[in-house]
Amino acid sequence: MDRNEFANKIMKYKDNMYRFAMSYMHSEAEAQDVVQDVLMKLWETRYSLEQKKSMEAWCMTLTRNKSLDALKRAGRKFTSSIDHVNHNPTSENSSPLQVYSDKESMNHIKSALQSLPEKQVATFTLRDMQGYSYLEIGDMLGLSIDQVKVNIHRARKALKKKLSTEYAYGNG
Amino acid sequence: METDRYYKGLESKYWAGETNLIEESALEKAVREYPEMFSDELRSVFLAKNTIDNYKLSEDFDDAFWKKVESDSRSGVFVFSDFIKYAAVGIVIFGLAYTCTLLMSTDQTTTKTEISEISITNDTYDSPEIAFEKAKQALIMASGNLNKGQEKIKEIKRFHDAKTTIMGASEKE
Repeated sequence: MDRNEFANKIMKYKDNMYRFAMSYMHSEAEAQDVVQDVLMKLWETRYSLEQKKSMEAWCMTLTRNKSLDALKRAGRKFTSSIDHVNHNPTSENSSPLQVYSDKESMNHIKSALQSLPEKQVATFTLRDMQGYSYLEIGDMLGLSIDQVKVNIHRARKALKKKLSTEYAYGNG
Repeated sequence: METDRYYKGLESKYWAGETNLIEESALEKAVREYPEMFSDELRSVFLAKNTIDNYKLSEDFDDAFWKKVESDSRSGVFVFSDFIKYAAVGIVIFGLAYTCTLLMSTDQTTTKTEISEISITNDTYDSPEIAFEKAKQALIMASGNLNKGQEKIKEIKRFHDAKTTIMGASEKE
């Protein structure tokens, strides 16, 4: 696999890998380092990559493993960090009230996700934030379709409960 | 009204983890178009999705990556790592072959020693009477131990019988 082929077949997943890494790491720079490390590993093993069934699934698997390794090396435990970065999702036309409301919503999601187990956050992120199918998520995380469904169901249920509490508390 | 009911149903399905990708996509679109129809919780989820969709690596990421690849290959990291890999495999194969050779030679030596030992110990006693006496003593010793074991088993059996009797009696009471 030469450089062009690598760019066409592997590098196209880099943003998905970055988004997934962002759900583990606590900064843009750390997530970027994870993606770079994963791509370096893929480049080093590029001659054996043809045997992989799904390149995308393999990229995401390595991203998850690398992120967990990085957290372990730093002596940190997994806590979802879905919005640790100051990206500005709201359009330039958004009113200050809208921006504030969006930020509040993100804070609620962040705090709700923080208490969930890693597998639930991973399945939830891959499905609800990145739109992968159950089969693809199963390949990425080494789970059966049923296990993926169970994890997503539990994640959504817990998330709804936590969000409801937060909204009730916020409105009360 | 009908649409409202449909989306409410879809939202319930979503939280129960029963929606498919097409339904989730429809739900996302509807949340964007008619946010007031949905719960705050669902709106938050799709808002988070919208935020995450905007996460992208910086434009200079590719350049930085290829520069790193080039600098690593120039410094011989890959060549060295390949060399280490092959050297490790070579050492393992050599080690295995050496161990096998050593084991085979040890086996042969042991067999020869055993045969010579047997040939030496075959005729320990010249007289059949003495040999008979020795064998008898050995058997008596072995049977003595066997008897001791049997006695212990009998004791256990007695204890078990007594226990069964007592328990039977207490059940009748």
